[in-house]
Amino acid sequence: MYHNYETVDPAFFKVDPASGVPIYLQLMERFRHAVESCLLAPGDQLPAIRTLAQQLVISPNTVVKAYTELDQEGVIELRHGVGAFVLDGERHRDRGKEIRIAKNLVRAFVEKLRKQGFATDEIRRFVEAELNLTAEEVRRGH
Amino acid sequence: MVIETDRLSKQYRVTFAVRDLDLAVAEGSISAFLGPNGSGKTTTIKMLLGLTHPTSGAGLVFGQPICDDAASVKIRQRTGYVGEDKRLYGYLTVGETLSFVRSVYPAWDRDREQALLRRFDLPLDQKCQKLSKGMRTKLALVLALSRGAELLILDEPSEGLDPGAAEQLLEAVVQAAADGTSVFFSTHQIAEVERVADHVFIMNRGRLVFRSPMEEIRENYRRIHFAFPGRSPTEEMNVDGVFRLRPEGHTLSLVVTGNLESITQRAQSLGAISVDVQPIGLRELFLESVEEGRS
Amino acid sequence: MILHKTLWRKSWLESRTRFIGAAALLLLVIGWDILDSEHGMRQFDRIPPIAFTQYVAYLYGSHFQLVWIASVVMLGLGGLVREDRLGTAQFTLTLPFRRRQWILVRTALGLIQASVLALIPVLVIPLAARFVGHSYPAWEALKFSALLWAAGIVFLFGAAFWSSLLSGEFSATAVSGVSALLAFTAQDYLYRWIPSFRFPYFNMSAFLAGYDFLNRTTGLLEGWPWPGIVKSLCAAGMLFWASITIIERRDF
Repeated sequence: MYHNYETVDPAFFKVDPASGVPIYLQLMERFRHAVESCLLAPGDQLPAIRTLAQQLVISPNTVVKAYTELDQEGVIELRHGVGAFVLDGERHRDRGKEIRIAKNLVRAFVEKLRKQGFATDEIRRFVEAELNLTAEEVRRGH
Repeated sequence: MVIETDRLSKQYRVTFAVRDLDLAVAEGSISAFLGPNGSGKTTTIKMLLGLTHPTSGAGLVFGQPICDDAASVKIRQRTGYVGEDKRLYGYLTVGETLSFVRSVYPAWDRDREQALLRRFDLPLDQKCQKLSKGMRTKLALVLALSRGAELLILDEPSEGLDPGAAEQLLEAVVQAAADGTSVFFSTHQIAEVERVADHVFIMNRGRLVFRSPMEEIRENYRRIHFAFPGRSPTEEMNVDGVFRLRPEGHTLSLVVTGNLESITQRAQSLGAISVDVQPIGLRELFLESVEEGRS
Repeated sequence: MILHKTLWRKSWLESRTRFIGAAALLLLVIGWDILDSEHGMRQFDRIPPIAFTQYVAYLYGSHFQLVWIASVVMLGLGGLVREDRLGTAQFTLTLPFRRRQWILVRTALGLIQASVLALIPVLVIPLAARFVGHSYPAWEALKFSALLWAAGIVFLFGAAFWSSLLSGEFSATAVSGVSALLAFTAQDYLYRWIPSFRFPYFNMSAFLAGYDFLNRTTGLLEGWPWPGIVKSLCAAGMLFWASITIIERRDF
């Protein structure tokens, strides 16, 4: 089976410009996710920067940043003049499993809070506050 | 830098339409210019294009001085412009206008023109004076985007466009940026800026009151609410990294540009009993930037 | 530098209605006056009766002159400042041309159009004259027309000057018209009403028709008011320079 970008619904890579998360980070997360859930296989070519920017209607510079960071992380490989390609790596398959476990944890946690009577918005605020402070700590650690 | 200004000012008798503007727009970036009506955005754009003469200060576009008429021609050869007033020659038809402008720009991209015409669905035989504002805007965009320009300066390009057409405008802008064109556009639509802009500049009453890369707003800017047992220590909290500060009884509302850890620590050392951190969107930042009487 | 066809094309498109209107008017007036010359000449009621050539000289000094001046005033209107009021100036001025280029081309076109208008009598008079049994040499008409052009082109520049200051169609037209009218009558009135100031006698209309060099018997031009022409052209030059300066300094 040959998976490539065209067989993946473009809406999969939709980003939310109004959320507090930088668009390039959102994109990176979507790509990592696509790779780890095997929607994109190793060796597949990523869409051209121009194409993706046009499709999502975001700045091409944002796409460039996302691709550059992914390249540095080793998720993809930027081949000059040719394009961006998903890198092979066994860890991606294991990562898929880890993702499934993580998602289950989140589901259980959210269900628990709901049972305690918290509304969706309240839960989201708790999580965001925690994430923001954690992000600061991580940054400080670097 | 494709656009650079140095204390650019435009004074009318006693009032300043633009005051000490230091703008720096990087090549290949998409920059948005926000500001309330009358904040000086249009005057700035007119000065960059040689339509209006600055009263003091200087500006460079493509390294060419904007004050010199001959140099301004060189700037305009490489720039696509959509003005606030999207009026064109009423006595020409759409098709005639296109061929008129086409003859002036040797780098005209015929394919781009055709693609945009199809997308915007413009009637070639209609006289320009009979076009609706939306149609005029679309034609102005086609004229600006097809000329193979290295820089696009757009003054409220989505004004008068329905949401579908506004979306097409953004797509066209992104497409131009992907080709390496620098884009500098002024707008009232915050959502547009959040989607496509790399940089945002906010003007108010002729001055530049805020400037930042968009990603930095998302990554580093935060709104924090601190609650204090007694009066909020406003002066003591006005430290490095605090953009705006507003006491509301027991609570203190801040907008910070970073330094989250040290600011939180300081608040806690001053007795803060609760901390609430949230990301801050561009709309809020805009409102904070243009509000009067800030500390 | 001014040869780009777009500059000329736009200037033509903007002025063609006025030009064609003026040409039609001139054609009509000249044609009518010549074809009706029998009747017109009889009005003079003189012994010996007025000759055809004298009548043509008279026409040049009255109808033709007025229509031509009014026409060139019309040709001098419009321009970038007018466009500002109409809202297209931003579009025009962001095209890659200097303001100076637009002005030069508009002016050059205006001069060409004024020349064509001045040539209309040269073509029409001899032709129409034959219809009423007279002959009139084109060369004579050319002399009159050339004088009219050289001495009167200042009115084109006058209108262009006012157009660089006033953006309203009505105001620019009215002021240009009034100032042209004043140019025609002021000196005359000043001389008559305030003789103590010793204004030299000067009649614009007579100047444009070359009355000082007119042979009264033949009605033919036998010389040119060179000093007057030079002064007129200098005034035109100054008005032109002023217009350019005003427009280059203007904020659009």
